[in-house]
Amino acid sequence: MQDLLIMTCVRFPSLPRQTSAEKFRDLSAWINRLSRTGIRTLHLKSIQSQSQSWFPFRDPIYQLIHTFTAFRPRASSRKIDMAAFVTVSKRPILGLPFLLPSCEPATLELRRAQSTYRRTKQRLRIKPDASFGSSSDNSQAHIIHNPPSSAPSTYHTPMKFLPPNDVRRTLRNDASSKSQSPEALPSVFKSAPERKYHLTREDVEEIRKLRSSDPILWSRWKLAKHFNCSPIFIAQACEASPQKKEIQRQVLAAVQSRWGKTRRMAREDRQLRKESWGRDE
Amino acid sequence: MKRLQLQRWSSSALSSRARTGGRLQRHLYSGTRLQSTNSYSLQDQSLGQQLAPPSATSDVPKFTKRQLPSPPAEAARESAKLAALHARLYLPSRLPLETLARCLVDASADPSAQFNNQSLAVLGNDLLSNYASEHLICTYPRLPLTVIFAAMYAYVGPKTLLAMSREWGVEHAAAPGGEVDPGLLQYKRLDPGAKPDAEPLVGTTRPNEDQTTWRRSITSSVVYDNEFGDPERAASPPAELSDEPFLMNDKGPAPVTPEAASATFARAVMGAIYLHAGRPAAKRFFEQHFLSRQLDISKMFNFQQPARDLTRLCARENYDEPVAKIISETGRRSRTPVFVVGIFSGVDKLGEGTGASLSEARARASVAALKGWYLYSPLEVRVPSAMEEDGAAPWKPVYVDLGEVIV
Repeated sequence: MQDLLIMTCVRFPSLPRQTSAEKFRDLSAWINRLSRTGIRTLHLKSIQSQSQSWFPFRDPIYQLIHTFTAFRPRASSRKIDMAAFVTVSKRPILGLPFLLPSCEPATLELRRAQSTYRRTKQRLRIKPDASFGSSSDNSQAHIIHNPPSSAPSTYHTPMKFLPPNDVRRTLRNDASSKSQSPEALPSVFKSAPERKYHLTREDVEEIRKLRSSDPILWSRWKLAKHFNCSPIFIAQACEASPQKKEIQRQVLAAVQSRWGKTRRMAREDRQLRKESWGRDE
Repeated sequence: MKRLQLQRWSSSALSSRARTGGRLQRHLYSGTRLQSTNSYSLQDQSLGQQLAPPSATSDVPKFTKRQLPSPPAEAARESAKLAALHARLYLPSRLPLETLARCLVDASADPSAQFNNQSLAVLGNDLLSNYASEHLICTYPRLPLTVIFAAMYAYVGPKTLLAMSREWGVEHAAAPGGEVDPGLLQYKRLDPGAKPDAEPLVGTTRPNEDQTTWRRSITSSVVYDNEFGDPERAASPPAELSDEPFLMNDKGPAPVTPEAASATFARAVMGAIYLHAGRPAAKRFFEQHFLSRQLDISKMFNFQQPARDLTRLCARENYDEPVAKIISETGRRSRTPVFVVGIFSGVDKLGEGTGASLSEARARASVAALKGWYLYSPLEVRVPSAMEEDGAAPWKPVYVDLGEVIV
């Protein structure tokens, strides 16, 4: 009983002291009635989350009373355990009509958010495979093939890689091997690489001459921009001088010397991950 | 194809006492060791001394078992371990226990070529390499050479043979000797802490082996190196069969590792089965013990630049240029995105891969496409050795590929 008073004062600090004493008398009366009916102790349920619309009483204490939930305390102590939220009553709560307000008893149930349950149910509703449903001709026996979603086996040779005299070429022709049309799919890259083939032999000679004349000025990117081609083509056309390579190596070492432990490890891990792609691990 | 009279050959694998063949063979192949007399006393006669020819009435040798480097042939019949090993391996009954005992004697234990398993191991190694390579090449005709070498090592390499001899339950003798149970594998052990491969191999079959900076192509490994692509020591001409017996006080041969000794033993068993029971039994033994080991060849690839390799492959085979397309994706803006990327050539999908980034998914899809190319396997695989069976169907040429992609 003392706990209930404390809880009342804590939860409604704005109430005047006199009012709270009256309400507490009402509360004790309620609790006496409840204890006669077999419910030993009561537990406050938070009323902040409750919707106010259906509630007949504006008085917060009545709201408090109407949102009581039956609760069994520990056997040893008569104190109300705030941590436990197990709702157990000796009788079903619907058999106690005086406890119920004039509203639906949904709020007296377990603490479960209705919307979350529905959403969960909705999320779990996965569309079955097409072969599970009613097919067009149920008269004949048919195979239900519902494979789990997994990566295709590498031992399954693609159609294009089969030699021309292989039997599987004709066997797979009628099967629906072309389920996806690549035209409808988005590309990995934003723009397709454009091949221009506009550089002549003289241009390549010019590239080599420029790069050997001043490798600092004419870097790969600068040459690529000047000749309107890709830096990879510059690398294919000519090679940097050993001096330039040494300078570049020193620049890289200077940059790397400023890396801390975390960044260095992250870079090394990234490199290791990239190498594991080729091993398909 | 005419069948060879292997039974006649196999008698030479047995020492003279264990042989049950004809009298002529017994006369021809009688081992010098068993005929050696007791005129040998270790104290006053050196080993290099020329022996008097054994008299016709020479008695059984007076050597004690402790003086012999390996167990005598008559001990094979009394060894329970040997009989158990013979039964456990389900060896053909035509393979006598004496030959199995000889298979267990390594050349480091007994240098005499008549009593160790060296000759059997040479034969068995050739058979194993032949069967394994023809199986690999006919089953996966497009495999790159490096993968073929690795797969050969996985099928008949020394590490596999060591594991197999352990699975067969072959125990190793602490030290070789005549008094040892012939059911134990006998070899001269390395000293503790010794490194067997410390110094580089010299005297290999490869020319210009002193040029360490020269590039060693994988193609030259086919020509010069052994079946695993490793340089091997050039074979020396077989040593003359010395007349004097080898005794324990002689300076012994080099010690070997347990791995090398076990590998030699497993190869010798294969050669012994071939000699005594013939080719079908040898092939059956290979299929049951070697080919039945599971090997996932798709795990043996390592591509450095898979997308570039696939582009080169498609250019070589006159396919359309491979294009990477996003099949599905989830959580692009999240911490754990998943992309499913397919590689298409024209309208055909070559491969599919998933990854946490678009570049990873593309690389994995390229790897899947390349593996789809390299792991092509014909439907009916027939190896050339299948033609050795009686009543074999006429040979149809197997699929031969252009070779791997060279960038």
